[in-house]
Amino acid sequence: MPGPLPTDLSAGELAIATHDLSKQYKTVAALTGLALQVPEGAVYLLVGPNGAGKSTTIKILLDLIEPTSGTARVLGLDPRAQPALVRANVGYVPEQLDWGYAWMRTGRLLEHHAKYFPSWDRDYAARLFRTFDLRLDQKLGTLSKGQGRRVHLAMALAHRPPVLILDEPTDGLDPVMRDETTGVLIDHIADAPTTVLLCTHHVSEFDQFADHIGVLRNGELRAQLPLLELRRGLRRYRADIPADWGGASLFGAAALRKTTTHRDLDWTVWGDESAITAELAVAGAVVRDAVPLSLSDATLALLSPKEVIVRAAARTADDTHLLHSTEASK
Amino acid sequence: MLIAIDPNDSRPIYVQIVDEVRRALVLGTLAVDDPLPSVRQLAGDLRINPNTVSQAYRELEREGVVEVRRGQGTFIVKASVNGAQRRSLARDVAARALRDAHRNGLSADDLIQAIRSVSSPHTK
Amino acid sequence: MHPAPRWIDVAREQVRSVGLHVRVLGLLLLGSLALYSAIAIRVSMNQRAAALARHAVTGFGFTPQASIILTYLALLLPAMMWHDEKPGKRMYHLAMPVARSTHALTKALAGWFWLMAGTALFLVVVVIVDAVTRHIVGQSAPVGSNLETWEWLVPFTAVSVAYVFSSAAAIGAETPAVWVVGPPLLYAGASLAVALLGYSATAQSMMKLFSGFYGASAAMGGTVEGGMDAAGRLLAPSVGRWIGATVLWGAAATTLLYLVARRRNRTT
Repeated sequence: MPGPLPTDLSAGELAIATHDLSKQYKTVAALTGLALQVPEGAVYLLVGPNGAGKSTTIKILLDLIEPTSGTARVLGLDPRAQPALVRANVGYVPEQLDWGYAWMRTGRLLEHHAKYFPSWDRDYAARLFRTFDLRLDQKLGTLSKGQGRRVHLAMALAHRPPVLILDEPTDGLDPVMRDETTGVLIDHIADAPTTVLLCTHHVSEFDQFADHIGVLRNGELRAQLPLLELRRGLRRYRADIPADWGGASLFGAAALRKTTTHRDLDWTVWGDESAITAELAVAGAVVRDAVPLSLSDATLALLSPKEVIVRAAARTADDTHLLHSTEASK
Repeated sequence: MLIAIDPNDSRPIYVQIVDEVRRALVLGTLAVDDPLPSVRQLAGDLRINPNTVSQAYRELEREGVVEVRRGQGTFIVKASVNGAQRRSLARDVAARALRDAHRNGLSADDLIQAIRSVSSPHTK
Repeated sequence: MHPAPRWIDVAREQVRSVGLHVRVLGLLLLGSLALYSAIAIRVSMNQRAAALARHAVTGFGFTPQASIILTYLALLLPAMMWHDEKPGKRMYHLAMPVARSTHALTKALAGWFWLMAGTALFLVVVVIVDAVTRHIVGQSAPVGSNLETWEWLVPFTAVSVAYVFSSAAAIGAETPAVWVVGPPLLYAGASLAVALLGYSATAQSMMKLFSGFYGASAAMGGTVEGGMDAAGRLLAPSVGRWIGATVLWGAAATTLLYLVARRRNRTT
């Protein structure tokens, strides 16, 4: 079911595009008609709860699993028809690390990769290892989760692919390494235009780095748009309302979160700020505040719309309040 | 030159960078022929997407404030901050202050009165 | 857009990688050969006196049947190579820029290269030990004088066919040992059952799959004699038997390997 926000990024060159992509497991529909659109050169944040279909989508893009129906294109290539060429142009950091060669040492692994990726930059790989505080003589089987992830990152970046697909790239990393990772990624795309598809739960960590966002829930996109547009179009409105205010159902699904007491409202609404303010004024509300949301708050509002109505009965002399609150998810 | 970015500000980051450069010109911290930090440098320092910095620099170039010299970087070419730019800067500051006032239940008149009273007995 | 890697670069890298991975087996082979050489020389030195008194003791020579020893190596090698890459395991290098079927075949080829190197080493050591022990016991017959030239190729083909079957099992199955041991056992069991049911002639025909003229034993066990004469003695080795069995079983094994490698391209 589509939400009130835009999902169409198809104007312009797309580095990654899926069309009506569906993946059905025996009882679960992991993806339903997904139209993922990642513009060339974008840093696209793909967010959504566990099980939303993020990793499934990525695996389809790399021909690690096959879709039930629909198509996917990476740099114009079909992963099912040309899997080797697609993977030669993608730097992939998987969510779950599974070393095929536990016996191999990290230095040897780099050499191994150098032969598989003709565009491998040995000096860059060595620099990345130093930045990430990694040694060359460690057996892969003995790496910690954080070290493993850093090795993966280094390998994904070292061949300077046109597309980076990072699934939770900072998972398991301490704050220092998280910061290093952000710095490395910023430098990396400053050096050469790169399209980045980044899946993460840590939205706030990347909200200055990303410029597009896709919010995935239950296998479909609730929103897919540039971050500038999201920031411009989503506001948290705080207004005073008169008693017996009749505007409780204004804006419909465009009001993602609503907290309404009998005196004021705190609504997160998608749309043009002046139009919404005007509409609220017409309905009798006095808008005190229209604040943009942080990316984490915006994502949360998109993923879990909520309506809270707080009613208080008139105060009696002995100060008993009856408060009913109803919570209904849309 | 210090560029400060506020993620909670309602202005997009690239607009903030442009405003900061203009502010530096007004203050005199930046002069003609001064270089702006490289895109890579500024993006790394501010921890933002390099494309955002590029966008800001392009905007400044469009306005004729800077020019890109191949192989060298981006340089200030117009330091004169004319009256129009000062006025536009003042309007931006006023708009922000007014929003803040509104949030606190104050009207524009309340704010104007307060500014006058705060700014007059200033020599202490 | 970056190109995918050239096959030859990937193949070379796999040879290095597989070699590093299975170097333990290599060391085991070297160790066994060294031990064998030491024992052979020691024994022949002990026999020297006896040999001078009576007629010559045979040296530690080589017959095609000896390749059966290497066939065990051929069965072990794929298990070790593929034990980290079982079909069901989600592995990062499924995301390498080569088709998964190509990867499987290339890696199998790399392992075969090392297997041939090991076989050659084995033969070189056997020939040298044979020469040395014959010299010690004072025999003058030249090394391998009773062997035809083609018989020296038997260990290479026998080991290769066994290796291809074993690789198919290792690439295609979660527990390759089951598939290497299982089918022969089941087949033998079935033949036994048939025999017990009274159809001994049918059972004998069934067992020809193993011991027949073009049977598995001829292809992988080095039993390339031309058959038995009326007195029950083995006839001279037959090149026809060797070629026929090798081609038959080799084609079957290669087809199986190809299909199993192709299967790796399939995704759920």
